[in-house]
Amino acid sequence: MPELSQLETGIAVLVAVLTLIFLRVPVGLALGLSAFLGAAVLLPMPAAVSLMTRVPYEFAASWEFAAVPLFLVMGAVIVRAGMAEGLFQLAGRLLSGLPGGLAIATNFAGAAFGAASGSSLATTVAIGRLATPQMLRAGYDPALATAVTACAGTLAALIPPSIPLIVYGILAEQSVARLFLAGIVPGLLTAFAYALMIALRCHFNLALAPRKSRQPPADDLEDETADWGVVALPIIAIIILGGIYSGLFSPGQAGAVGTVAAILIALPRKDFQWRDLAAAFADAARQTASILFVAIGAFMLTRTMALTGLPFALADLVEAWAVSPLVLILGASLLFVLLGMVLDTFGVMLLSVAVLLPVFERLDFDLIWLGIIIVKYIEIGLITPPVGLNVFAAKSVAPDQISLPTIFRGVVWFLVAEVFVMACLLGFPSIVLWLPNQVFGV
Amino acid sequence: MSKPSQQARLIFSFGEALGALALCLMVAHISIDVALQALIDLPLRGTSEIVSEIYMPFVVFGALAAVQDRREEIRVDLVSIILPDRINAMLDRLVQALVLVAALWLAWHTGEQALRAMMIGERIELGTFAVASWPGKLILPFAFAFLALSAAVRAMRP
Repeated sequence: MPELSQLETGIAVLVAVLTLIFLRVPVGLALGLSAFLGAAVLLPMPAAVSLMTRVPYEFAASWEFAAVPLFLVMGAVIVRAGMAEGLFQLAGRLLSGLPGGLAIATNFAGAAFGAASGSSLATTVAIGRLATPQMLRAGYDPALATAVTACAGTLAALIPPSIPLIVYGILAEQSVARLFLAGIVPGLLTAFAYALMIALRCHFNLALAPRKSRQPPADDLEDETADWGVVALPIIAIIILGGIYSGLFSPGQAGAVGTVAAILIALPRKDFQWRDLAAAFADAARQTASILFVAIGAFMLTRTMALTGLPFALADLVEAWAVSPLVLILGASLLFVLLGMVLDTFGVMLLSVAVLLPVFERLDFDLIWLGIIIVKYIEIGLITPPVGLNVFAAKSVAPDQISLPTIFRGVVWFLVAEVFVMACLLGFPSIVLWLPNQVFGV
Repeated sequence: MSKPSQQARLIFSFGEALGALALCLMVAHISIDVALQALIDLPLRGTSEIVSEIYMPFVVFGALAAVQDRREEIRVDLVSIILPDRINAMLDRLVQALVLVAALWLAWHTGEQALRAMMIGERIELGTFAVASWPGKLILPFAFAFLALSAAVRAMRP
């Protein structure tokens, strides 16, 4: 059998990754197994075994990655305590006069809930469980009522604290605090673009959302949970962001402080028991294992990619062809969207960081801006068929008669809004960089 | 559910509980550290080392088998939509066999590393005192062995 060159091995490893993923091998194992096979081709077997089997502990034993489980448990407490309810009710009261007011309220409640929970799926499930039945009762189009919960959930990936931004920051060796600030304006821009699109559609097509008279009166929306939820989430968000930017604690420590704040707010309530707290910790432990198992596989892949030299060969190629930055970012955008259609959030990010980061570094791209762009594409991937994890999450809390194609039909309009947002972020990087540069300096 | 399956699930729940407990201790430890730093400018010594080398391995690997058992692992169900149920079931068994082999292999190698660390009494020196760090390594072979068990249980389920 002819021996593979280093570059051929690199390409074969990537093909193996995609093949195994399509065969439904867990993504973490697909990445790790392919990485090991690549290392075994390039190194003597004992060296390959030693290199790969040390990764799980070296990777897990990380102070930086502790932020991931800490924010996950904070989100789990917030979800189990039902803190989304009051927020949605307040937004519903304030925005019910606008065309598609309940859908717009769902969108902004998703943004606010995401700001405290940090998890797209948790946001979609929590907001969808509340908002979808109310919108359907008010006569909203099922495609709009479900798609808005799927898309509002994606805002959590950008608005801090964002778990994808933490993971990107660690892997790309960028400041997580700077990334958090950089995500705020694009997150809000996306929320307002969604709101504008919903209002315009509902203004021109009355069948999508009946005007206020058919919507449930404000009293229907109220219950005992309303007021505390309105106050609880902003308090947690202010504690986290205030603490980070005043230098009181690091982004990693913020997860622990935020968790304690969420517990202190939730525990005095009658409907949040100690067993709910234990269940929240168990949820977070499983989510951590699930996410970081993928990250460990990707870390193995990064090591193998470094051995093959493929990322650097790609960088050389881009430099030799004198590819303009615009062409490069558009080409990468296409790749991210395609990967996002078939891979999960962390799969896309970890593959792109492993393979493409050296290319962008070589061409002096701002890696903070790039992180936001990658997370935006991941966010778009969360609502793009055929995988669209957030769409599946929205389906899981929607009535049975609403099919996946119906939700995807509603999502198409949000993707149109995303084209506008991405054009702004790609064309005007200062939208992303202005806020972190103001706070931290250039 | 068969009795062996129930017993296996107890083991997975135990792992999950270990992960949740480590996470709980980690939240408490870091919060106390932040509070002491803010109030009396005297943080707990060695917090980052203890978090990274002791709590984190338990948090990351404790619930690994429970994730697999509950089918919560991250994977892409793209081909399953177009393939017939019989092929999907066969494919799932093959994947579980692959998980089983890989998990056993990792359990063996991480077990060797953990034993070595335990034999030499690996620890973190924190100035005037030291904390044993080998327990953090010991969770890995158990977690991967539990993962192998959960793959076997899942492959045998009808």
